[in-house]
Amino acid sequence: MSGDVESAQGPLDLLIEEFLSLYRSGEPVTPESFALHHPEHRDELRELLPTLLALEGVKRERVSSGCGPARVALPELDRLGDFRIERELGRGGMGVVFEAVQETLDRRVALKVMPQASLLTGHQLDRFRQEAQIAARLHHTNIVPVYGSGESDGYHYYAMQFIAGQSLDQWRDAQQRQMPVGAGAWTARARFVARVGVAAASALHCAHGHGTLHRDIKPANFLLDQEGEVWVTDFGLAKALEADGMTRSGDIVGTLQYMPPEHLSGVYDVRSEVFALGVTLYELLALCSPFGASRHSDLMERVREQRFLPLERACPDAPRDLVVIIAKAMAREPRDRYQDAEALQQDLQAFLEDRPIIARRLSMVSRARRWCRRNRTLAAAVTVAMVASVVAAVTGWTSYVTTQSALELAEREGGRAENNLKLSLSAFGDVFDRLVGREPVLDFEEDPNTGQELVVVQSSVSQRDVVLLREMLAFYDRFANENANSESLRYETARANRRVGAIHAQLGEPKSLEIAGEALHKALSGFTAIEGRDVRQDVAQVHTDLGLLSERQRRTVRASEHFQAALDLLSSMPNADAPGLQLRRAQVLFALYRTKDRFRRRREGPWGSVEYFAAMAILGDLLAVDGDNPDVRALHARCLREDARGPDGRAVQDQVVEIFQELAKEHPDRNEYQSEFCQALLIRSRRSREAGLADLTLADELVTELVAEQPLFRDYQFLQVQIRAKLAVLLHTTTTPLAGADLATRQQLARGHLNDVIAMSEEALRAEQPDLRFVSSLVAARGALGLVLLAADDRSAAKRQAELVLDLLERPGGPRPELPLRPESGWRRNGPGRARGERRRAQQGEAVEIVLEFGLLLLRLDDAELRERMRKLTARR
Amino acid sequence: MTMDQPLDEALERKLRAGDSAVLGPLFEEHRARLARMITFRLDTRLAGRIDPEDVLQDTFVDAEKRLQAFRDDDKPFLVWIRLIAQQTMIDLHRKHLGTRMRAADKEVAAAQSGVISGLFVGATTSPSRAMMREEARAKIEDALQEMDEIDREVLMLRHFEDLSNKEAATVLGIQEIAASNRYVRALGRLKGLLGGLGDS
Repeated sequence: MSGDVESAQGPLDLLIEEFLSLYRSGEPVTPESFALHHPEHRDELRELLPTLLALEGVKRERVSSGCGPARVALPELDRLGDFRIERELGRGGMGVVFEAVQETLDRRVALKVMPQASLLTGHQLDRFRQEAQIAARLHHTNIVPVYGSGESDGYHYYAMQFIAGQSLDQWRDAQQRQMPVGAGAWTARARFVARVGVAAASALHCAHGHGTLHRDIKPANFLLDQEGEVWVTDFGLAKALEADGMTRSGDIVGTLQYMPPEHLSGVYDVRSEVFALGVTLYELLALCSPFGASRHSDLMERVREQRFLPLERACPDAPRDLVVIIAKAMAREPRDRYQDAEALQQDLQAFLEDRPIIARRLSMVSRARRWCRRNRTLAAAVTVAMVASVVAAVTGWTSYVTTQSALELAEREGGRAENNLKLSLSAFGDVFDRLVGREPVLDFEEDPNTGQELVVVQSSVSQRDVVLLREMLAFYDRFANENANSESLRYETARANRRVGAIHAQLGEPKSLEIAGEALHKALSGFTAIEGRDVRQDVAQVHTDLGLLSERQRRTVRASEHFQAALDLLSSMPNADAPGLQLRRAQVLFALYRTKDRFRRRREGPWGSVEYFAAMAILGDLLAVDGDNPDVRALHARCLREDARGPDGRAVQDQVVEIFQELAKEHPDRNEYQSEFCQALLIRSRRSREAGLADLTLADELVTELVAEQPLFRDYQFLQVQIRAKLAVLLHTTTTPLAGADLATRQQLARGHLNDVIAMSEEALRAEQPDLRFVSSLVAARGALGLVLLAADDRSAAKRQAELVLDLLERPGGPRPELPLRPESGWRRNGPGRARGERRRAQQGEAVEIVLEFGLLLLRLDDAELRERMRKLTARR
Repeated sequence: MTMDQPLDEALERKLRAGDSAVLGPLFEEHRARLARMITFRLDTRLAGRIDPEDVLQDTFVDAEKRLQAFRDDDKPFLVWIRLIAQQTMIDLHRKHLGTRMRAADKEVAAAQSGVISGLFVGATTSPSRAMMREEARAKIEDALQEMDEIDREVLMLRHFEDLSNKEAATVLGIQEIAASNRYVRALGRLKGLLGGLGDS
């Protein structure tokens, strides 16, 4: 970087630079004229300068499309035609609004001025005029009248009635400082919001009747005048100026959160406006956006996936009916919303008059359906929103390559096809990551108090995703077979196998566990066959996956072997001391400890285990150097959990809860932390009734959200069912006033929970691949419900519950009696629970372990007929 | 090119000497060009989701955190801050596209070689091409893609990021005269690749 300018830059370069700076500063310079002035380089300049201009063109395009539209620049205006401008009221992406006086009529108007016509295309102008005319024809008490539109000095404008007051976003901001406290304040707020909704819906309905959509419903477009009346403004006008809502990123960002999901795929109708009004009402009630005040990039994602804070959580004290109405207006699927603005208006009116409303909360079934559809429409939505989306790449490519002709083409074109394949491989990786998360780790744990097994959920995929991924894998297999000499393909195929294995393992059903095993073994042999590349880490990962899988299938010895192999590989790596590899090591050590611990009959606490000790030692180092790493902290908590049976058990349990609570708070997007937090609460809840109630209430709330998010995922449902059943039992049996309600209310609540558990369990058992864990929850819930009924002196209903359980167990081809009584998933298979079970067995004189609550019910009913049925059942085994 | 070099250099010296307060002004000096770099190199799949301003903000926060690294190293500020911005983009890519470390490594390579990454993902299928409304623009970007890495980089630095020859040379780590020659030659090659387009 030394030397003077002359020697540091070639003479031609200097000329090019000069031309460029002239051109960029707007000088009227052309390649030809410039070349003429510099005869010594004339030919070269003539050659190069046009290319240079082409490059500049690309730059202009990219910069203008990438950074959103520039703000409208308007010079100081004090007059526009007949209008004397008094002050600026506000400005948005597309125009500036002034307060003005129309002199000939001497009336006060609000004047919206567009940028100079030269910036608008002819088509945009036509639409603008047309929409202004339509808006001027709308007459409704809640629509700001448009007087007319015109053009002056090159500006397009329209004039409307001047409303003195504030817009609802201003109102919202002012309210923010004073959240309502107490029921009275909430009622007042709710009634205000409902009145706004009635007025707005009625105005929208009128416009819809005239065939006009507002297209930009948001608090800023509602005015609140000094009499408290609500006015809708800006009908179809602002949006008319945009070519289409999607491309102007700068503007769309401002209104993104009011955009209905179907708009992403280009559909926008009356029901879309119902949605936007719903979001507006949500905001007015909760004083915050349902999608949170996040950054634009996050917002986009949340809107697309419709992930928002349920209103009942944002304002738990708001009137239930209003919350339900708004939720219905904001339903993801247009057909689940109010079908027009009038229907919404009527329900809001019903709320105001304390009449019953039409909207109902979404049932479990429709939640599941909604989730299915969400995933199905994801591809479409993403395609529109981001052109080169990974999902589009994968789905498009899959259907393309699975045809035979494509394969032939690929073969013919050799290298080119391989490049394409690599592209789709990386797209596949993206999809995998999106579905499964960064590093799937399977884990499960046992409740220290009962020895009951809880599956720890790491993430989730749907059956459909698996089909998609398998489809791709089939292609890789074929392709790799035919191109066996390509090293990179073999590597990618092995990786793909590993991923498919991991996905299947996560599904957790017996059949998919087997498929997982196959895929992982393929991956293992695939990796092993690779030469000239260090795949030790990959192989270690596959061994770990296989170990966890074997563990889950109760093949303990094999699991230990796999873990050991993984450990050997990890310590043979040249950079084995790197924190990342150390964390891996600790994870595998922990898994190995768990396996061995399970294998040992006698439990001597974790500290007797070499592996546990080693894992904790590594964790100690990692916490010191990388203590913020969530994976490190989570593993730490999992390790600690093992120690909860020790002398400091209570403190340790608290610490585990605390760590997972922090993780859950810091990483709301990582479901595994949410679920592990729930589990930690569930385990701790067994300590004391009062604290347990609080823990379980929180856990129930969190897990309900998880289930709502992933209703197809059985592990969350199972967790929810366990939490709810436990909550119900506590509610029913706790007698202290701390429970916060009298006995009757608590029993009512308990019954509700148990009915939920029963409904969810039955649903899980009706599924195509019934999840037999739910047999136990069903039996337990019916047992507990029977006990509640018995306590309420409804003996016949209580007996009915016991009969239903026996019906289920007796059904030919149905779950065998030993399933609920000694299910695979280990209801008190060993540990303290076993001892308790044995005691109970002795008490009852029955030869089987039975689910506690159901057993108690049978005992208390003391019914000869039931006893006989139970005896026959147990004899059958 | 229009930057006030002496001021810039004075700030840089102060920053290196330990005056952390000048990071702000110095960053402001480079802001516009960093923004352009981000606009050009941000994966198009993220273009709608990520505001270049967000990236800039993260870059600044990161730079503040890593100031010591700047002082320990003798990389010029421009080079250093571009690296941080690139890292920030990679992190964002990873976060938004859910990309794993491995894939992210590819992105590092892509971002550094100046590929307008993502633009060519699935280039054989139609969606991304459909987005390029102007054939000419697509053609130029294609041609850039075909070019040798340093040629492409030098064109991108000089044109899209508005770097002077001296700055481009610093970023590329080559002699100024070499950078200059490279630039003129790259223009010539681009012209060759474009064929008749440049004349129209």
